Amino acid sequence: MNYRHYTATDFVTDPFFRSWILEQESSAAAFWENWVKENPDRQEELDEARALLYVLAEKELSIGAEELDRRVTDVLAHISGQAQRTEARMRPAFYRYFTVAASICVVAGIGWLGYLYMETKPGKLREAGIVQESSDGYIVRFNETKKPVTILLDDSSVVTLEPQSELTFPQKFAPERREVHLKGEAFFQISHNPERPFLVKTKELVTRVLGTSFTVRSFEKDRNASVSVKTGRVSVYSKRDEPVSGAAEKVIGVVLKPNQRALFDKRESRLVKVIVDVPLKVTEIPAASLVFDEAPVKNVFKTLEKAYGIELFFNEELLSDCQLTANLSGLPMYEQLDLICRIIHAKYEVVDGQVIIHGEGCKAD
Amino acid sequence: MMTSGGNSSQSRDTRLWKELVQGNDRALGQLMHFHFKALLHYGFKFVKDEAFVKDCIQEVFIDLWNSRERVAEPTHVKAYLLVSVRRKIARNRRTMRLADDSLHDEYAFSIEFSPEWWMIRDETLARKAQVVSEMLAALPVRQREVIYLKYYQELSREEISAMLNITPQTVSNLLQMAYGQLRKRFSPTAISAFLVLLFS
Repeated sequence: MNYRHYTATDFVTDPFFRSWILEQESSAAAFWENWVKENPDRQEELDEARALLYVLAEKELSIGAEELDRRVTDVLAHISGQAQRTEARMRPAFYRYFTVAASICVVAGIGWLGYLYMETKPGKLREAGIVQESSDGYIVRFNETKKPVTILLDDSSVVTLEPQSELTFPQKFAPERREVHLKGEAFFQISHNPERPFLVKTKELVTRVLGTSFTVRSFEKDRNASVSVKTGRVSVYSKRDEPVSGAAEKVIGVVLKPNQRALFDKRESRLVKVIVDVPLKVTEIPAASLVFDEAPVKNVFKTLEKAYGIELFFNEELLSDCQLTANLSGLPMYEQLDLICRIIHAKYEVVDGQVIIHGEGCKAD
Repeated sequence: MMTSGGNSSQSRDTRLWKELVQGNDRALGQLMHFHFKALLHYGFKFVKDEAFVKDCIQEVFIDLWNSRERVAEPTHVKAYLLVSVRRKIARNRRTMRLADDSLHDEYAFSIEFSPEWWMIRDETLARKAQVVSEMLAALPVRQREVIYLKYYQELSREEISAMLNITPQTVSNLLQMAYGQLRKRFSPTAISAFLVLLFS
């Protein structure tokens, strides 16, 4: 984006400019203060836009994230209270989702079908909100509490089962492979054992691992089912493509690395690879190494690649003149990319779980 | 992200609306998350009482949930929510019998320009803001509101027309008239090229 040709009205309607004035966002402030310094002839234009926004914004009406969460919870608690009285089908307090949703799942749908399903099942044991049922050496656990529940499996793998979710697993795993069935959402930390692959089966997907940690999500109500990886590598394929023993069928699936997520669109039966909403650092990078002073942008990208374990593709030759002066510490990955791309007038897109940078270079005008 | 802006947030709102009509309360929660700030800011234009406005916004979402099966899907969800908040505030103020006659008019709209609220340290900038605020203050209420909705809430001409129940052409006319008023009252030097653009 080239802001040099922006008029005041363009600035007023530019989201990044607005985030500086209205949200006082630190990365935006850094960018614009620097921009004014580099473009003193555009200050007049910029100031007019600032003045109008300040006047319209009037007073900084802030509502903190916490208060907002609380108010949303209040409303949801209120309506689910009503619903329980009148319809007896909504489960209360989905509040927690708002705090964890960003890190692990797509936001869509709720899991009450699992609840209905459980209601119709006879002969279950209730202990502290966990519904457990055993038959033929299989254990079925349904989490009807509002908090995640931890389950330790026979092979000392640990499963964190989210509310309204159900896990079916054998009391003792077979010698050649470990297999569990999931409805809903769970985070898996699998004990490493290359001889005995671990399989998580949901209605649509099969996730196969040797030893790693990842989240599987598959609620009946959701449009998408997904698998996100925290550590290690996992392969995911749709049930239709599952290899039949003995058959030489070609399996179409994806291999996921940390911070990548496989998304299965149920309606279109399509499996795509994306990046999780909030990528976590796989390598700890000291904050000082994220402060760049006229650094070649290539080095900046290399640092991010290392930090998140995600591949970034860019045309090295084209971007060889691009230098970056910015403090990227403390920002989430997408904000880091936004900031870099603004500075070097580039764009990025996420394709197949990787980041592709499109830029035309930074040759001095 | 590569795409951002009006269209994507509008289709997101419409999707959430459909989900909540089907009984998904999380969709309602998300809609509330996305719009709370804008609604608060808008409500504050009528009543300078943050806590009161926040409570009104909560009630709007509870009402929406309770009537979800009866309400027709709005073309512009954000515009619908803004109108709902304005109505709720007007109604709650009436029932509270707060002695303020001006608020019996649902459309009473007052933007205040108290400069002590601006956090502007830069003197040149503060002077500019002063000029802009005086210009806006001189405008009739309706014209001021259109400017506010367009440049602060970033509503499109169509959204504003849906909200104020006027045609898109009237929205453009109000903006034009605002510009005409300003030209009459202020010297040409005070009106920069920027204000010309503002009302085009």
